[in-house]
Amino acid sequence: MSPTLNLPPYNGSVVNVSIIHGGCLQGSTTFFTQTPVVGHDAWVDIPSHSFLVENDRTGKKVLFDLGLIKAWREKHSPIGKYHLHNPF
Amino acid sequence: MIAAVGLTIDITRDVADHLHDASVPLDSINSIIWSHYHFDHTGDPSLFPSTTSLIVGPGFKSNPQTFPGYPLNPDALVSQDAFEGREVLELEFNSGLEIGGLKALDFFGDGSFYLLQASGHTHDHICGLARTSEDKFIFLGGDAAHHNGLFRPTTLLPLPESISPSPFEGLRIPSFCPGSIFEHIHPATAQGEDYRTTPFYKLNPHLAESLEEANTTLEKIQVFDASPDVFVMIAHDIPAQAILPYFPGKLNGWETKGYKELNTWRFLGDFKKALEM
Repeated sequence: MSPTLNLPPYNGSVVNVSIIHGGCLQGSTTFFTQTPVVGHDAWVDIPSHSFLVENDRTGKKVLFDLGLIKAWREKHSPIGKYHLHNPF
Repeated sequence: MIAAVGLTIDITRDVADHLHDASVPLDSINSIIWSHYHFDHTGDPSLFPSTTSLIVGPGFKSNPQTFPGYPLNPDALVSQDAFEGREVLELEFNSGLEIGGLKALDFFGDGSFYLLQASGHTHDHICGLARTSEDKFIFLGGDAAHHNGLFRPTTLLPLPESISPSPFEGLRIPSFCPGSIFEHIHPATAQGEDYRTTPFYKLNPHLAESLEEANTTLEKIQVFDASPDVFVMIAHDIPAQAILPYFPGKLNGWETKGYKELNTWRFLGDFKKALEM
């Protein structure tokens, strides 16, 4: 039997959601998976999305994730840069 | 953009630039929520005023990889200036609320936006569940998966007999593609499993601090993904770029605009070269 999904009840409030393009990583699709599909190995633009979530009733706005940083050369820690060049 | 062995970064306009372009003042942003601490999600909070709080997942502040930041803490992967002068709140999922088997918090207290504990990829990883209408939601999956083929198809959301529009044609071209053409390239077929109900990929252990937790989290997300009331979107969703209206556009009304239907199987277009081999 399929698991049922009990979504929470409506209390009269919703949010507006927008997707924001937070820049791209470029890398091979093979980084992300354990079991390759032969031929699915392209070097691709991988977007890092951010989401603006706005609650009109309260006027509150939050961002879920913030994408990439422009000043990464200056601000990434040496160990962070190491991970960029050596993702594993 | 730079050349590198691993990944390269290509960023000319950041989130703050996009907000500025749309005349949304940065001081109107109450909080930045990090799905987890990795650099491709954390952006540059120092661009935001000190009134914007930073919200992080469980365990963030007690882990020497994440807090305090660099250079105060030479081992940190996160910059200290993200935290300077602002409130940094670490979430505690102790309210007893669960949604779809994931511990949840009602973020605004009015049932409009939930944060969900979703560890595995990292210790602090969280997801979001945003109510876009009375009974419809967008699930913000973060890095619970890095490709849609890691959690589709499933027994709950099987590969259709016919996919329309075809993932190999333009979005507005009436077309279809039989699901059966993917049988021979699907790794499950060689394992004697059903290609129609098994995800194309398995999570890469190198991309999960706990593979077991990451798999458990992803199994729960698959139940959300199978619901017609929920549109699941991972942070690195590649097909979204061609399908969705970006900010200042809104995703509300996704169910009538067909965004989920267009997005769900679009990733199969990635297998064009594999099918031709």
